[in-house]
Amino acid sequence: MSKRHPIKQTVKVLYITKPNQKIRFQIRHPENVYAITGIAVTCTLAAKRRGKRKITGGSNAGTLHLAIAEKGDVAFTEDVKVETNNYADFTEEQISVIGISKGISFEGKRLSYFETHFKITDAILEGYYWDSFLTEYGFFINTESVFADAVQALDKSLVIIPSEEVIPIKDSLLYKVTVYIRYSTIKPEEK
Amino acid sequence: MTHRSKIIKEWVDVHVTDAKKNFKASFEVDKHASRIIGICISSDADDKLYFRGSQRIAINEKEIYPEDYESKMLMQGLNVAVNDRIIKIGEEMEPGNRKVEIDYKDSEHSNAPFSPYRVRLYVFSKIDEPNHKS
Repeated sequence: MSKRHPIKQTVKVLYITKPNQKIRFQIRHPENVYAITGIAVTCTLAAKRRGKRKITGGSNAGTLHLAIAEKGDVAFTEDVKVETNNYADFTEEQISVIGISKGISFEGKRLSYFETHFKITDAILEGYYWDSFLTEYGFFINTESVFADAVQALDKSLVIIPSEEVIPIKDSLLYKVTVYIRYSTIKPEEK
Repeated sequence: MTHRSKIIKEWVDVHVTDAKKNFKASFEVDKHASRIIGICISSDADDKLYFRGSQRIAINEKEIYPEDYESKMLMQGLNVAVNDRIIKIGEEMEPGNRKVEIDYKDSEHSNAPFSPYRVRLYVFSKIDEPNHKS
């Protein structure tokens, strides 16, 4: 007898390349699934390693909404966070230090799903992601225009027209957001 | 007659030798394994696996984790208790043709510059063996 595997997973990857980017997407549910049992969201943005510069200020990468198609009912909302710690076992790093202190619960972690039981009534789940990280950190100050303003403040008769140059966003700031949906293929009465 | 269950932990290594490429590996679970319980993943360079890795995993030609499923979702650190380190794959699964495949993808990440590393996929399975009590 071939038994149906009780869990299915889908993955949707969103690539964020522009400041303030808004992405609408759809997730088509796999066949023969009964309910969504877990949702997880990860983001490739991560603060720099310990001892190096950390991303300061806001820790949000953006906001994610999942909704039932054409009904607008938001089923899931999450502020996607920039990771603030690297993956390194604190205990390993501190092995020679007596008295391991705070921080132990934040490293050496294991990511897990948001547990839910959301019965599937439509074939599609709609999603919407709105970037806030590149909006805040993706722009660079055009030093030429700042300099022009400063000179003009000193000498009103001087007019400097700064050249407009598009400064590309650094590749290291571009990121992707991955949405994981875990399904159950078994109806409660089958269990 | 009672049944005693043993859990065995087998593994397959993927050697990631080039950046931004896919690497495949497969193995067959023990012939005495009657049920596959779960998996977990680790590396000799946790940072690289965490930031750069994603994979597709199939058991008995059934896709358990689809392509682009990030490795960080399947990793755990020392703070996770040893007996909790199994990522359960729903209900226990029959091994079928016993083949376990991993298709690992390395992607660029600024926090973990590339150098060759090894990824290890563990598969936990249960062996049911009859144990006659006298």
